[in-house]
Amino acid sequence: MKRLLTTLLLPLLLTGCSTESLADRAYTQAVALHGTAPVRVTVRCFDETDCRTSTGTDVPAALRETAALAGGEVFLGHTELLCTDGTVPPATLRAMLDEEGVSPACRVFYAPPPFLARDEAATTVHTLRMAEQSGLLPTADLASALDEWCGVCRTALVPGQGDGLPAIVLLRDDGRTTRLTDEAVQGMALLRVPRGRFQMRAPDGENVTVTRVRRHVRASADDVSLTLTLHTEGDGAVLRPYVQTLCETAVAEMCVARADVLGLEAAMARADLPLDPEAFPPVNVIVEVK
Amino acid sequence: MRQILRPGQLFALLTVAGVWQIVCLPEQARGVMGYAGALAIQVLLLIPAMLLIGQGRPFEDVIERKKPIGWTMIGYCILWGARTLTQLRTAVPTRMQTVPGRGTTAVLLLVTVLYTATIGIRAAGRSAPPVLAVALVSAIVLTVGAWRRADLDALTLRVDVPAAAAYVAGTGEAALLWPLAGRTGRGAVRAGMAYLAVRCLLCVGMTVLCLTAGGRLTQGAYPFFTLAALSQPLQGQRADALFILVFMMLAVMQLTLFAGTAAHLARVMHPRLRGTAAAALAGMLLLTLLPADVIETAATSLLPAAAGLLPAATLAAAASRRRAVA
Repeated sequence: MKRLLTTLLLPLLLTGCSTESLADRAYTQAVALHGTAPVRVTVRCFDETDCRTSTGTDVPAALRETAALAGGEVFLGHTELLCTDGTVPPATLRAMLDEEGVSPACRVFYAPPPFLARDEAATTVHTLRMAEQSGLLPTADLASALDEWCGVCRTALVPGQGDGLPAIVLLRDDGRTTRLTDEAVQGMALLRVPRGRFQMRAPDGENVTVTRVRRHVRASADDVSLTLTLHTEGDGAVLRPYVQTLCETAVAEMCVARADVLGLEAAMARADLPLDPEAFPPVNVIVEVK
Repeated sequence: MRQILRPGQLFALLTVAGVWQIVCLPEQARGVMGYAGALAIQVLLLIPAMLLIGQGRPFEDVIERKKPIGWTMIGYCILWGARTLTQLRTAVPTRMQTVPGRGTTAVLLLVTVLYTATIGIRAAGRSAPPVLAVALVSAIVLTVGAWRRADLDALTLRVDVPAAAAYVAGTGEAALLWPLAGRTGRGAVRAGMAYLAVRCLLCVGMTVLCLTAGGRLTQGAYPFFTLAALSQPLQGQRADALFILVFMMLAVMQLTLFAGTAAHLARVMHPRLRGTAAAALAGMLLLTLLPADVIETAATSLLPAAAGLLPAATLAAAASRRRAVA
């Protein structure tokens, strides 16, 4: 029994539990990255309005300098917002996930580093979350952005600075951006499959409760069909033409921008078809309301 | 002769080692159907060993008379232990280390394994069931955390032959079924079959998660570590601490299995030998000086011989002796 316990307990010595107190750590709410070698890292902590900016050959080096400024280890596990101005390669953001412990649900936000010093930076994440739950903005986070940058189109859908609600931007890995129109944003919000229930206002002013959204993409040699199914309470048929227009606008702007943020590449790969970023196949949008 | 391990302990020990190999799979499979064929190949490979176990012919009796077989298996264990150390050095990201610095982690790990291997393979066998339970709980946590991102449309049933081949090639612990079975008989055979089945199921589960929840992010090298980063079982928080803990426990058990088995077999053949566990570990460390691909090739090449050919040759030799006597 003693041997059994010892064998079990010994590996626990390898856990390297931290002896630091909470006061010795700087819990970051938002991080902004700019540039590559050197990288400029701006950090904003919870309940603080001041930001700390450091420069380093890479992100870990810059964070070590930030730790010295903050007087404690910079802890990124609770980071809610990761700002990029397009000058940072996706590999650096990938390292934030893999090596620095940033949550995959952290929001990637297209904005220059000075944005962090503004009051709205602290509430941006809350605004994004509420807007996504209400079906006003498409869902997007660090994991989805990194996944989209891995595709052949190398473009991710990320929120960015806007008037009122954040704008939605298609951000290429080389920093070029395309801003979606309001109509395309509404369509993309549905096509990105929002979770939970939300209300949609039909053109005639009637509010319809959408309980579930499903998206299915199927590819063939001739075209790609994207089927969006909305489950509603009551008579949701009034929504169909309206949603059809929104979705077609979103898909059209996405194709013009040579971006794939709706899983076209994956669907074509399942059919053993490659996706050519320079020659998008025709995409048929089918909207069903149940 | 005292029984080495009970069937449940044998199952747990082999499965824990199998979980380690699954965690360190170098690439994500593109489909899940290939694993059925891989499982069939593994069962075929282990049939001679299971027949010997079922006939009540323990490995220890064989190596007492034919010591080259014993030393071959010891060399096999040392080679696979070196492969594990190489995987720790090359495949594992730094955030999976429990303390800063790869050197510090390595020293702590080796000291722990030296102790666990020295106290004997039976102690490792008694430790294996709780470690397996913790590993399975963490697998559930990983699944719950990653499932919110799952897109079932991405699941493909195609056959990925290279992935299936890599899966079979990584089943180094299977060759230890006969050496560790002792005189357990049919219990060990059932334990062996259960181990193969559970191992396959766990690998299929991880592949499903990678395909549906990991997407293109897990198409790079060593997808498990990316999957662990994507898993959020606690709402917005990651569960890295749990996976780090389990990962290190698996590493300790994996190395203990091979070092402990090598030490046990050496003492069976030469009871007066001392320091066999330390010698086995030292041999593993020496081998890690070789290039990683050399170790990988040597280890996977020896697997069919150790797991299949050796028991088959023993069966054939026993059958020819019976015919000669008759």
